[in-house]
Amino acid sequence: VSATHPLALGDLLEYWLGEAGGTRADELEAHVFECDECAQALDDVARLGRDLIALVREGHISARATAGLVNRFSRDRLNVRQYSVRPGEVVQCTVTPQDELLLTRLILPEGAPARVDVSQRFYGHEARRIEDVTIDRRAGEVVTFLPARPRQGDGSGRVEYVLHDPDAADRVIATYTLEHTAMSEA
Amino acid sequence: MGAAAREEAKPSDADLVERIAQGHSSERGDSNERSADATRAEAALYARYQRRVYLYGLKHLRDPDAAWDLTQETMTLVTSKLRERELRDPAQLGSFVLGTCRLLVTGERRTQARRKRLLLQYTDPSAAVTAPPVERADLERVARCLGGLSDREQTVLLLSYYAELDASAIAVELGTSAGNVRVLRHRAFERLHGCVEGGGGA
Repeated sequence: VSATHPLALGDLLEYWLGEAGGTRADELEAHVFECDECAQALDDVARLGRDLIALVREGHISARATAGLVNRFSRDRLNVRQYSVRPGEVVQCTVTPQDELLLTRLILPEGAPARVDVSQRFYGHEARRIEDVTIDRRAGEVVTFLPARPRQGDGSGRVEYVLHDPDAADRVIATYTLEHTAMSEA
Repeated sequence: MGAAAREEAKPSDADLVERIAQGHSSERGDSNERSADATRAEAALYARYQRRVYLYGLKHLRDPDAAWDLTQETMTLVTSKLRERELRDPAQLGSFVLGTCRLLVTGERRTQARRKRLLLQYTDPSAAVTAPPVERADLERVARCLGGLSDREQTVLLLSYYAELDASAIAVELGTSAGNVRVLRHRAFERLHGCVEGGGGA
């Protein structure tokens, strides 16, 4: 039995990501083998996934992570340098030529709101603001990862992450500071 | 190009099946012409199905090299069966290809010996079955487009594709519902795909 044409994107995603159950998966699979259009749509779903995986493994993505993503870095044996920072804390950091990813764990303070913005500051100036940042709710952290490679040539400097509450007049919730020391100076 | 012209350019499965079988028929006549047409039909068969077989292999075997091996084996076996007129209903070619994939993946009959025998017996189509390279420009476009998504959309896509977590597991990590994760994932994919296909993100 084949599924109804055209297959919905949600169905294709669930099939490809292994969430469709046995009979349903069989129906979707049968349809893909009978239908050029849906085969092409599934190909698009698969290709984008392949490209995302390649980008992570090659260290071209900077984004927010959760424990599941960090576990996957470990399974892929990526060299990840991690720093865990508490509110108000200043942490000394560096990266080595062996590092592939730099991962920063910002531990949320007690009573942090559900929605949080993060301001990234270099030398006191806001370089980037991430609205409604992804929070690993189970860990109570905002986890940022970025390619370690570009940082290896950087000079020393101070990077601050400032958490804001956008629903309370942008109130500052917490500040985290990383004092980066370049390899040549370490 | 009109609809009629498109139909001519894209033969039906049944047409391909018949032309492949005709090319290997023992009947006398214009055998060279029939053989050449069968070769064209086999090429069309590969073009139509090899990517689907590869995706099937990738999904079930989780390994690109194994998926390409499966593709080669499946297409070789399907072609050999069509040459021998072993498909009774030509309109069921898609099901036949899928059934062959399933047989090869799940059965013990998938042996090196048969593979070698088939490859020796029939024309080796392996040259037609090669993994498409990942284009650097495509990756850069995907990276740019990913940067245009919301923070949560990016994370959900990475958790789904790279970390291979299902919606329920992602929901636990993000403190939301599986339904919400599916909605986010759907929207994120549509936006990313639309941006990449539109050449956006530049």
